[in-house]
Amino acid sequence: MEKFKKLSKLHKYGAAISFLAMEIFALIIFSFGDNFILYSSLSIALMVLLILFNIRQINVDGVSSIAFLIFPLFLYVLLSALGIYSRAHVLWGDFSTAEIVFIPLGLLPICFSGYLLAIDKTFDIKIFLIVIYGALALLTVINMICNYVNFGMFYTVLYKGYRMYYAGEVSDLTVENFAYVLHGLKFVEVKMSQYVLIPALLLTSSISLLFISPKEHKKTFITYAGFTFVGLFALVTIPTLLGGIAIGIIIVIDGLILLIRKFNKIYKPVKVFVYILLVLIILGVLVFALAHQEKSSIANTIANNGTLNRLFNNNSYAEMYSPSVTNLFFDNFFGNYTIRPLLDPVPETKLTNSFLFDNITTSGVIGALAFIIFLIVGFRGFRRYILNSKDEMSSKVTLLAFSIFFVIFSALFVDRDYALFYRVIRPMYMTGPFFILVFILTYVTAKEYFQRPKKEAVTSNSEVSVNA
Amino acid sequence: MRKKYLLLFPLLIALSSCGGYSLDYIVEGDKYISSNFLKNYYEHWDDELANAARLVSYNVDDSRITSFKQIGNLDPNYATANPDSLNESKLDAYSHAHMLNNYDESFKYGVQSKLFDGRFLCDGLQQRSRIQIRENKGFSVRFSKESDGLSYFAMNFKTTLNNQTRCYKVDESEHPVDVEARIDSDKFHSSVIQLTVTIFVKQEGYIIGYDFISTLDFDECYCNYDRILRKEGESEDPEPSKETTNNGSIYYFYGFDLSKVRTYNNEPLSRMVGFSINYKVISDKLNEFNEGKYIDGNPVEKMDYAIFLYEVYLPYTYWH
Repeated sequence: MEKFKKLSKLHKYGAAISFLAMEIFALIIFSFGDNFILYSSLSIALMVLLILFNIRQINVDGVSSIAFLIFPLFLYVLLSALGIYSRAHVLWGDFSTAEIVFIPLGLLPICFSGYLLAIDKTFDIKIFLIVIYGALALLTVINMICNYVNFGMFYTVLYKGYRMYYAGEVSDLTVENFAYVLHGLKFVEVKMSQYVLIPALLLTSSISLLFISPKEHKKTFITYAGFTFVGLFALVTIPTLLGGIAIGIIIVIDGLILLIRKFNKIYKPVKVFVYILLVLIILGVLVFALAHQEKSSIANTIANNGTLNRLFNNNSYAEMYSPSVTNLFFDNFFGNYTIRPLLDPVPETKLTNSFLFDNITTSGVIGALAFIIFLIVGFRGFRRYILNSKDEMSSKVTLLAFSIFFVIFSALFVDRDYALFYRVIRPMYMTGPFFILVFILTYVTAKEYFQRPKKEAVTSNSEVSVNA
Repeated sequence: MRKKYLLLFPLLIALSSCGGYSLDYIVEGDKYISSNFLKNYYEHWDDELANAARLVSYNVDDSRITSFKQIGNLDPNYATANPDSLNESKLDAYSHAHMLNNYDESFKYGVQSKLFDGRFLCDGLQQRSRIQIRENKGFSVRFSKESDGLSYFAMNFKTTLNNQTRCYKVDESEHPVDVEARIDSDKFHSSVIQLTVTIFVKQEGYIIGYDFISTLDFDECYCNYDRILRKEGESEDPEPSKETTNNGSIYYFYGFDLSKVRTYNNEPLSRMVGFSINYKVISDKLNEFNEGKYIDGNPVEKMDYAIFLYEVYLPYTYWH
């Protein structure tokens, strides 16, 4: 008890700890290339520090508020770390043993840090957002300048169709499909989706401009305007179709957030729409899987129909995604077709540009489902956070825009084998922005729990009138 | 004062846009890797090297090696009592040990990186694995770093003609005859070229070129092998020997010592910043034979000569 009393006195340094926490988040989103162990270590250190400083406020009820969020995440990261994909890639040299150990060790602490900072009264989410976007802006400017120095502005248009020679090989991708980004402490040629992700995440700050009064909060408005400008400038001066799509997605997200500002009234139709969409997606994936089984009657039906054949078989997306699904159900080594007993993926399956299918490859069907559940629980918490939390609306919607955009963009466009001239495989759970997403979802869930109106307790001594 | 900081961003962007440092490493479409022989000549010359003074020429005919089996004369690490033990696997080990890619990342960029990647044979990659050099034009390579000391220069290459459809074999009546069978050891294409390798070094703030000239006699029968017409039912021709010797071979390993070379002011050759390779065809038996000849009433076209350069070596150098 004495020890705990001494520890509890440390809480007066809360502001410094909050500042340190924000610096750690800034470092994490700055990514430092594929230094997954670095930000996993930072997240562990942060959690330990926050526990020490907030130990008096930690209670079972509070922790249980995020239990439904932690459980699917725990399952997902454990299956990702212990699954055959990670183990095989350690043998092949793509990951180190330390990295797969840190998959759960890195992500669970950051998740718990979301809870700890939600109960920390000195932590200000407004400043967190400015720090995160500041780090993204710095990274965007660095990447932008590197590309200008190497190729110049608008190079994706001026040198369209050109290819780069490296180590005697001509690049598979033409110049308009790759860019330089800061990767660790050097600049590396990567696929365009890796470049576009950073300024696009920065551009999600644009939603704040619609909720902050420029007269009342001039400095904050100018700061967010600056972030928006840098993000837009980076995407416009290196114009790509993917950048245009990212801008379009952000505009749609901002528009939807504005339209459903009164979440409570419009929530039910949105909820029904989301559930229908989920069912359609699950059905679509199941049919997609069955479409590629040779002995399936469904496969024959689909193959014989022109439209269905084109949708499920004969397009570049089907060719890219089908191995993730079909390799769960086939064992082609000896020509026997069986359902793999533990639904373990085939580790040789290439990662795609969608985390939905990549999760099947890296974590199996159970892991992929667990992650979907994590997202659903997290975004349900978001809804309650926006309705009940006392944080400023501009911060709330900015967190929502950041999270939604990252999930959508990662589900559709971000390649996990992204370096052009050497092999780097980084599943989504090993990237900096994903750590921030996990933190945000936990933070909003816990914050809402602690800020929701409390029901009055009914005691045995209170008078209860009973109608005769 | 704060408004002045706003000018920093556009200034930074404007200054950084004046770069274009990687534009030298990108090429348009299928340039240099086309299926059209005539499109694949690499004729890039760095301006500084093209305008450099050429003060000294060395004739290397006496000291050159023209076979990998002679590598021991240049490189004691590969000397052996039995030259026949030096075969393709040894050349493979040599190539990967001494490829310039090992020394610095800067060698990995650009079309010229094909010469530094350790791939000394075609390996079926054809134009993707080599640089094609045009007669009297040549090309140059400018390094972004300088070397400390030079030991020797070596290169692996072959000569060829642009004969997309057929080779001509001279029969007893000295009339050209379509070759419809496999290539055998008959030597029906031979040529003599004068090869000039220029090593550019920095001296007293200037770039000076030192020419190393050699006359090479190719007594071989290589032509565009894949295009040889075959008789019906005939099996695929066996792969020609990959031993780099002079006799009936395809690849030609060529090198000369640089360690004892002195500059014009009698200093050891050092601070190399680039090199160039050029050549002049002195005689080309097949084209000379075909001159003035007709096939089916049409004059036989002169075939374009080319050197296919696969790899360049500058072993035991230090770059900074």
